[in-house]
Amino acid sequence: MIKAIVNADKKFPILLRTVPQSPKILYYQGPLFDRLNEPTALTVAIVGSRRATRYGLDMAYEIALELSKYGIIIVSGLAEGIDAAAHKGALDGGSGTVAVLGCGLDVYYPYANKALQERIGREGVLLSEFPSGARPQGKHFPSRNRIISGLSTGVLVVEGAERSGTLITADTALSQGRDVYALPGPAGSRNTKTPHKLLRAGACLVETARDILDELGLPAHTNLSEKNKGIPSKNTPQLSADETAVLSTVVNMPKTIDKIIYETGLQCDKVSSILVLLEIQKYITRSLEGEYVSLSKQTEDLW
Amino acid sequence: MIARILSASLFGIDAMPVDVEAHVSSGLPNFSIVGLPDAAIRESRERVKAGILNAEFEFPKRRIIVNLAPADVKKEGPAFDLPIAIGVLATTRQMSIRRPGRYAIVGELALDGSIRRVAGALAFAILVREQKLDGLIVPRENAAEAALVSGVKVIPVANLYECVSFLSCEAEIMPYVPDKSPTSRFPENVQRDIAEVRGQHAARRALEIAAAGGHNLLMFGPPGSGKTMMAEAFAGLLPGLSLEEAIETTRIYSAARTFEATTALVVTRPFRSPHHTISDIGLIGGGAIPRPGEISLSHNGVLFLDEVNEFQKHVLEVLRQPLENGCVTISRAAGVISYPSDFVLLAAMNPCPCGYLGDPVVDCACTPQEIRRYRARISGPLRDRIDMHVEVARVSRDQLTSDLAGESSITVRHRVAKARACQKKRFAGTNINVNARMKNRHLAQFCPMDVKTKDFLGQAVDRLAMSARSYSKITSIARTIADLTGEADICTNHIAEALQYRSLDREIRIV
Ligand SMILES: Nc1ncnc2c1ncn2[C@@H]1O[C@H](COP(=O)(O)OP(=O)(O)O)[C@@H](O)[C@H]1O
Ligand SMILES: [Mg+2]
Ligand SMILES: [Zn+2]
Repeated sequence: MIKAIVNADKKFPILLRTVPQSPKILYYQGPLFDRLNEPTALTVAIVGSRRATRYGLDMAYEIALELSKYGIIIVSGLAEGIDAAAHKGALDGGSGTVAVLGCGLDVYYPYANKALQERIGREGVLLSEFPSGARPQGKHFPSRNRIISGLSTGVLVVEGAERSGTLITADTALSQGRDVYALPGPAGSRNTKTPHKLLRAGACLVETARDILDELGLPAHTNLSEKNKGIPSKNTPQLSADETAVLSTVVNMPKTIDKIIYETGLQCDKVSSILVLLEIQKYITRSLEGEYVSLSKQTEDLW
Repeated sequence: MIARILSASLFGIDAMPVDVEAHVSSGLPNFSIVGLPDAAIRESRERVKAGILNAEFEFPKRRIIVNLAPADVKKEGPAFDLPIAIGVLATTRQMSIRRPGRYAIVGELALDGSIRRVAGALAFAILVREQKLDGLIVPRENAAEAALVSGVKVIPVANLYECVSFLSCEAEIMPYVPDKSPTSRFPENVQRDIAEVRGQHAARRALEIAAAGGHNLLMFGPPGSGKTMMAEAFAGLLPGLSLEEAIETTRIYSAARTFEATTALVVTRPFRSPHHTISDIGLIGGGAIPRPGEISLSHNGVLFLDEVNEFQKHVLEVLRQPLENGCVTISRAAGVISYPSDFVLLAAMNPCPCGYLGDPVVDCACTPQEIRRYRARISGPLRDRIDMHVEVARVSRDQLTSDLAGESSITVRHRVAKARACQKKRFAGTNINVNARMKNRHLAQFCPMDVKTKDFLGQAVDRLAMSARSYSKITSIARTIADLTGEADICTNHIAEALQYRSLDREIRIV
């Protein structure tokens, strides 16, 4: 059920109430809302590119998961890509998540995240300053971004291209006095432009959830697990030599089919059919760029 | 006295017989032409007058009526000038037709009495053969074209005086004999060799499959990725035209008045690339005087729609019938005209609204949602008739200079020809000639799969969340892939590769 709360209400999230141009009214749905004002509640936003890489998705998921296991609430914008990975990690970690929408809470946008939106409505909280039925509009998103950073003590930027919305969110966060963390990426990748720009400007470098916990002054936690790397171990023995060769080319970097043909030296028709076989077995997927990306268990359904 | 001359008019790409009757009587001097003449024939009156005078004959100051029969068919074109002039001269007894046998006459008169080339000479020659006439008198420039039809005596004339001398038996004119008898197959379209395209292994493979099976293909990739270049090379992957194909294509070009400057016959496989501002008449044909459109000019060849998303929706909708049937019908008051239009459709578009998705240098600013919506915008009827989709990434500059040249068109064409021969054998006795044209009943008959392969296809369509209509497309592409290596049975590898070329089926579902 969608509820509304005005700025003056004492249950209105405190962090958000104190930022410039704090929203006058918030619509919300989900059990987590009341926890936002508990004295022990800690919120961290994770934002990034909608067209993310496997590396970005895995890291967003992983860090969200670990922070969530530690009891930290993850805030994000329910966009495709990094946002979705962060929400998913947060839900899996058990502390729930806040999704701030740029449309009415009963509007599924983007439609690809419908199931995730419904899950957050049940296990976390959906927030919006726009009433039911409001369609998403371009101008809603900068305004939504100020709520994401406003609700959080710090903002982690995972991936973002040169002139991305992510960069704007980071700027807003700084102007609201929030900490900005950034995850470094491979040099030369379009998606590392924003985080590296922030790092150069003095953002806090984050490699693991531990780095953020340290920044927040939280003691070491025994429960933090190693992130998984490399070829997913499921079923790997079943793959033929050629299949393994093809798969190994895309483990660390998304590649076009031509690059894969070049690197493996296999014939085009062979590579084509192997790629489809691997895709059917969910080892890899094809991104909108037309590149092949290897999948990890946690983030495979975010593509 | 009435003079009766045989002539012909174009209807679609076919010729119809027309009788030109000239009658002179006393009365106020007048020269009229009846039989639903169009504007061109009214102008013909002036040319006939000037032509007769300049050939040193008289234009009699009497009452002359010319009738073009049958009267209820709308005729077109200046090809009646010559038969009208002959009719006028004969009926006024300035000449007498002594030449034995029945000749059809066509030709446009210039003011000085010389004769200019006309549209449709090939079709006229075919008519002459069908009607068992004794010969065809044509403008000299049309002689080679008309002589392609074997067994027709073609008399070339350069001016009105020559024509009169021939008909009155005052002079002989040798029937036109072609320099060399036409070959059974003509050279390929070589405007661009596929070897010029660097990298792009996957796209080149897709072009080969499309050429082999006659599959329509959509390429999407950023500007400068070589889409136009590859489309231009595509026609050269197809074998050269056969004589029958060349004649058919020539009739279309002749009816469209698109003469190739020097040759009578259109001998290279057509590659047409209309701009996206084209009207639907320009694309499918029609108009007040009906002409074949771009889709018919592409007959037996390639129609390339660059920036396919920029074409008007209704213009693309009209492609549905020709893509389905290989011909287009246009309704006229005088009847239904049908033009052949059996072509391979190549389409190209940007990968996203801004155009830079996947570009190694320029960042794309589009959201996933925008990208999917953009791709889904290709109108449904057209999308349903496009068999293959292929992404074309931009090749980096150093790859352009360092990558070894790939296979040349000849090598690829060789495999394509083999695959086409397989199909010819398979489809003997049916009304189709390539895999792309298979209907469900053909798929059942010609693409049997063992249980394992069938299961794999089902599982794949399911896992990749493709729509049910993908089945038949995937099967026909797999058939072509197997034909390229001469394999009788479709197996899972063929299916797997075919799945590669249906990427839009997966994206459209999530819009
Ligand atoms: N793969 C390639 N191999 C060789 N030249 C290329 C390739 N891709 C692009 N080019 C060069 O770039 C030019 C532009 O390519 P074009 O076919 O017009 O691209 P598009 O139609 O995709 O915009 C070509 O004329 C060619 O010189
Ligand atoms: Mg182009
Ligand atoms: Zn774009």
